[in-house]
Amino acid sequence: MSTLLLMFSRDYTVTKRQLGIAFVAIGIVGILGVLAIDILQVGRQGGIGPAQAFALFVMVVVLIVGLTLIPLGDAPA
Amino acid sequence: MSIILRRLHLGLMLAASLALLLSFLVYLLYAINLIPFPFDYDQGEGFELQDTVLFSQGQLPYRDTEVYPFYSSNYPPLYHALAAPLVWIFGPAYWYGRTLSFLASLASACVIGYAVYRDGHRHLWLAALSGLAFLASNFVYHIGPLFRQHTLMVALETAAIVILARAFPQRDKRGIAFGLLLLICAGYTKQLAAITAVAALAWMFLRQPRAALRWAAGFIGFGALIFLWLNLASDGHWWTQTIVANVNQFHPLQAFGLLALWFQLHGFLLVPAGLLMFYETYFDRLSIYAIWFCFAALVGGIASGTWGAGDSYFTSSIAAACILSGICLSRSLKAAWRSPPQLQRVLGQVNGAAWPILLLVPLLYLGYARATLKMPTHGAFAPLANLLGVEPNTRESFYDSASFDVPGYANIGYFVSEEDEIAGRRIVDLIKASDRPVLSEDASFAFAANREVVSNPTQLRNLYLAGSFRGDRLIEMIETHQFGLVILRAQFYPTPVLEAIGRAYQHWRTIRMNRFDYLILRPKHGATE
Repeated sequence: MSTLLLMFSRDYTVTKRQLGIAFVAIGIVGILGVLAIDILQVGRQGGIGPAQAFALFVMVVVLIVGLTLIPLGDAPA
Repeated sequence: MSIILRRLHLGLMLAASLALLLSFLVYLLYAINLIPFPFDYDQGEGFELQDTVLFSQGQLPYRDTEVYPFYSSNYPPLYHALAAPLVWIFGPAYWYGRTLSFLASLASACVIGYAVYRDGHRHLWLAALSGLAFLASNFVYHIGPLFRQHTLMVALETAAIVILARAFPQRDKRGIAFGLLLLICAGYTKQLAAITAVAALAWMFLRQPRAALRWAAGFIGFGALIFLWLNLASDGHWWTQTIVANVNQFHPLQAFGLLALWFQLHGFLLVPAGLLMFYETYFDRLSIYAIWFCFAALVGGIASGTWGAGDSYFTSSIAAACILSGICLSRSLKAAWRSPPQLQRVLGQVNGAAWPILLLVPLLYLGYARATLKMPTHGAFAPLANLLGVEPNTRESFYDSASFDVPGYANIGYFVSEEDEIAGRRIVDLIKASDRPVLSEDASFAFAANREVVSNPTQLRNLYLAGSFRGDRLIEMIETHQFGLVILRAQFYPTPVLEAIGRAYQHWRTIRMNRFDYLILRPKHGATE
């Protein structure tokens, strides 16, 4: 709660660790979302198509970048 | 040794400058050749002129397409509103819209050069090369001098980004307000600027979340008010015509093909831009240019795969890449890298302006100039084409390093000829000989014949696919031969309209203009005059 309040102080800036955590979250949700299209089979044929494969690749990259940013700690993003 | 290296560096920098100036010369001649051409060069230019004419008459172009003349626009108003006063002075004409776009592309190049100079340790030569590199891009070249709103959008968003880059960290309220106002202007020039707006707000949030949220609230509120006003003023057609009709089918292979081509043509700049982004991500603070580049390349790249989109969707990312690469290379030449402890050894060598840097920087621009080469291969250009070893690979007298093989890459860029204008006049004469309205996929002939522009085919197609166009009245008019002629270029009309045309009209002539075949159809049963 205090971190959240701190975030909205005048001079607060997002850190590399926070950005990394956000990227990891986006990456995981994105990967699950892309795979869920196949699991749920929403009005389409099975198999990962080229657009899905590309989205999956982007999300993996986002996840990896996020993981590498977390150790950079409180350095400003 | 040092003097020899310096001279070699200077020679290569001169060669790179000459190569990019040659590219600019081709661009300039292309613009001079195209601007006075009185007909559509790129499909859709005439409909942008029609939007401009409607604004000059105080009317909005967001209309009910179920009633005659079945016309509506899918583009926001700013570009056409800016050109509207010129209709009062010169009447409907292509040259001022094309000139406006061309000047906007030059303005973008100047802003890019300024950004590299200001934020890249004041290396004037590198700044100039960065601006020229933007104009040398095949994607920019295509669309630069067209009567299309895209180039103005890029100029406005580039200016906005460059202003915000300095104003936001300095808490310069006027600067921030002006930057955000330019972003709204860009958005109301073309919807695609939303990508840049999101990138700018995301960067502002990273820097100062509280200030970013306050500015974002004002920005979104102001933008939404304009949106609501346009929707009310057009009886809700603004929403249908600019939002609903813009959700088009996605073709992944088109997007991937264009992404690969984008890298193939601009790789010499994308690599240094990527290196600076990597440095900022791990060893410095992320700049607005890096965030803009990521959003523009990724989202713009994906959007380029939608029906009706194309290579122009990458122009924002090219502007960002020119700035990032310019700053990266300028910093290298000026020995201005700040070395974090982890990179002290590597950057220490770069800062020492080691010989590879002195040679690499101009060689990158030389390589880029070759990768993006496009030029006529006949007339005065023939000796140069021979010298460079290039042969026509797109049209009979034009070389384009991108070729015309990738779907979505605009098959234009060649120069128009006198024969093209004569062909256009022949079509106009056919229209003048008819006393009935004409249904044409190219509005320019209607303007030249002083006739009303009837329908906007791509818009009707998109509306039809979105379930927002039935076309009963248009089909009835076609079936009852109320159009003297039908002129088709790419058969963009919705399927039921094309079927009605097939039932009621027959092929009469084919006239070739700008390397496109225009099919002239007249009513069946000899109903034409």
